[in-house]
Amino acid sequence: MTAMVQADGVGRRFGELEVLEGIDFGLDEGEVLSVIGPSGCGKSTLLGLIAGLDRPTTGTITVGGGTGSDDRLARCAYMPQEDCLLPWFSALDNAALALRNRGQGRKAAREKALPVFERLGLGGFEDSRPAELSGGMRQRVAFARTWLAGKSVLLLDEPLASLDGLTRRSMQAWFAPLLAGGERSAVLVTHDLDEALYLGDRVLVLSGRPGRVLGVREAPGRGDMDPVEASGSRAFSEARNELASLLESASPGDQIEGPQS
Amino acid sequence: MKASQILPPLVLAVLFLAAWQVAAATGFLAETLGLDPLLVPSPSEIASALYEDRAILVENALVTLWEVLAGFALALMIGVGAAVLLHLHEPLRRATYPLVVASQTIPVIVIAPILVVWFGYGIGPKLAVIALICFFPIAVNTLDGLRSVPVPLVEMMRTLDARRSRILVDVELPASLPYLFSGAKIAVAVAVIGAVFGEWVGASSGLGYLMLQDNAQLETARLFASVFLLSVIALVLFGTVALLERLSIRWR
Repeated sequence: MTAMVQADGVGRRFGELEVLEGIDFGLDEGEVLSVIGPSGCGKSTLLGLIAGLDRPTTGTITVGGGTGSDDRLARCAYMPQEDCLLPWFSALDNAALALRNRGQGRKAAREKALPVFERLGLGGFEDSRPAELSGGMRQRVAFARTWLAGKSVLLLDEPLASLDGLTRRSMQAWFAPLLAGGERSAVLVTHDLDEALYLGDRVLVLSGRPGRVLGVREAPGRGDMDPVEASGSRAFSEARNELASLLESASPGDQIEGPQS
Repeated sequence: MKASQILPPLVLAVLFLAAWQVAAATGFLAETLGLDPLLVPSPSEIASALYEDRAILVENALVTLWEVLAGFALALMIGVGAAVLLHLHEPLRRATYPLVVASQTIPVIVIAPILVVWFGYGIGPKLAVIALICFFPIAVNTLDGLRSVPVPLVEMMRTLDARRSRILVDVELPASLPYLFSGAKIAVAVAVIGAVFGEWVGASSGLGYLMLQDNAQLETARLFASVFLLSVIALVLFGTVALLERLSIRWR
């Protein structure tokens, strides 16, 4: 497999503040890489760099063979932590945003967006306003919007962090089959170790600021398990402990959020 | 609005008018102020002036209303246009924004005489005064609204292949609407004041002009009637803008 995203010695400094340092990793085509680390370790900065919204101070990032900001921007779709739905558009129009941006008519864009919209369990809510949807549904609309951008790389910045624990587990079950389809590569930033293991093929652990790569671990594989079953399984529990001790080793103290946070 | 919201201010207003009526009709008010009773009209006398002189009052009110509407529309176009321009052009905004804010220390109303010298006695100076007063709240609020869009939202749109113009039209302009309306509501209320000042400096019609005539002829009842009509104009315009706001911002 070819690397879809390749980071070589990537560092980012804002004035005096060194946020990321010497980041190396590769992301294969169709792979999902979870990124965990203490708060403020530069996880979101890393996504901005991959997306081409920001330039690294040192090192290079290649996305789909291109290193320029515009090359990266053309191949990445970014899903921020807040759902960022446009309140003046209906749910389906929000999902179809990227298609509209590329100049498609409203009707054609909506038709093209509908299958993904329905696959995420949003059928019947096409013309609802975002304000009328639950938090979990809004995140699914935001995910549909990101997916429908048709980019090779999805950059998901703690997409489920704002949801309660139960809703978060059910959202993981909605997102998993789409992400596992192998059509798209994804980088998933999260502070939930279970989520990192459930949705990711591999988990990259960053240290506290300046963020460095502490290690990369294979996820045990969820098989047919739902998020709750998986989290209770022995394989997940071992992987979780391993990740937690890896985090603890580099940044002892209270910065780490517990596995069940 | 609910009855519980309307009732208390309504009762207070009625009580106030009743007290005024009694105080003026009995001559108590004039005596206390040491004035000729002719100069202190009661609400009923103002009401009858309003009715009897309705033709001349309405004729002049329409002139003032027209000035206000035209000046406000001018300020809306220039204000929103300037806000968009400053929003899109960062260096221009940095250079001009502090000056725009500083320019607010110049009382626009007192430069009305200069405007009359420049633009003559027609509608020109009135439009200029109104537009200058209305420009600031509209432009500053709209600019705040355009800048209120969270950075991640704009970044998200960029990764979704949105051109700059698309972000402006689909994201920033709708997001700025509530701000624009806040500014427009302030502007429309002060626009009426601007029109009167514009007319005081030099005019041949309008409620401000009529007030000057009535002032000279001690027509105090009709003077109050003009003030009443000016308030009505301001209230109706404010209500219209508030209604447009509710109709155009339906997602809240």
